[in-house]
Amino acid sequence: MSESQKKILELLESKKINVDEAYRLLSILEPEAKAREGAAGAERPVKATGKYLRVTVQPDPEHERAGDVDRVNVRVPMSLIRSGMKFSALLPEEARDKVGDALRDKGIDFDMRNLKPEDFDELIEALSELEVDVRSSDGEMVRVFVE
Amino acid sequence: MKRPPLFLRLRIHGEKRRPGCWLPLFILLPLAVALLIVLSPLILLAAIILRRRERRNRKVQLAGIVLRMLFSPGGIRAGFGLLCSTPGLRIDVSDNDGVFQISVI
Repeated sequence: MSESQKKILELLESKKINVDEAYRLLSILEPEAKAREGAAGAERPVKATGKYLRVTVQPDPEHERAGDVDRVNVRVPMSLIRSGMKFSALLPEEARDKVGDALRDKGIDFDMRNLKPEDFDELIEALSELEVDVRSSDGEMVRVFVE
Repeated sequence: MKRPPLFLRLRIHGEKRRPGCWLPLFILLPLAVALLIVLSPLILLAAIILRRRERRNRKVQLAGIVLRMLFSPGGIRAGFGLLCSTPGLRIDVSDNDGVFQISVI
């Protein structure tokens, strides 16, 4: 435990800050602590993640021969998805509450305040195993995958 | 190392084929930043006005939140990170009537 973490816990004990504030401060310090642990030689095996999220829509070969050539090919860098997710962390407290309320109204029990930067990495890591193949009734092939 | 995008390749055409265009972002982005710095007093003024009026109107409230998000130190850092993550982005949609292609290099 670092000096800063001890100081936060002391402030909490002396009731100068509340539990929420202490949690927020500790989560800010967490990446620094992890970096120190990494520098100390405690290296974790890094899971290989894909570089791009791909979405492709390819026409049915029969339709293609008939001249119907609707095609979609989207390639989104995973780093762009990660950066986009980080934007949600910038949402002001009141906006987060409103988003939470709107989601609850739709029956989705999800609190944006619980979303932490380390969750983004976990989400991206999980996304690297994603593979969706859908064939529509008219033979179009929709594929979502990470490469 | 992350770097801002250099070029944006845009190709939009209908049945009649047209060549695409290459936008030199390495020239346009510094110009946009310079423009933003020049306009920053106006942006600050807009943020203050929106802050005062935002209780009355939801759209104004939303505009105020977005403005504060984008022009906070964290917002600028995240925006730059987002910009630096765009190289490699490619959107390519084509059908019988035409083609729409965007790629960031």
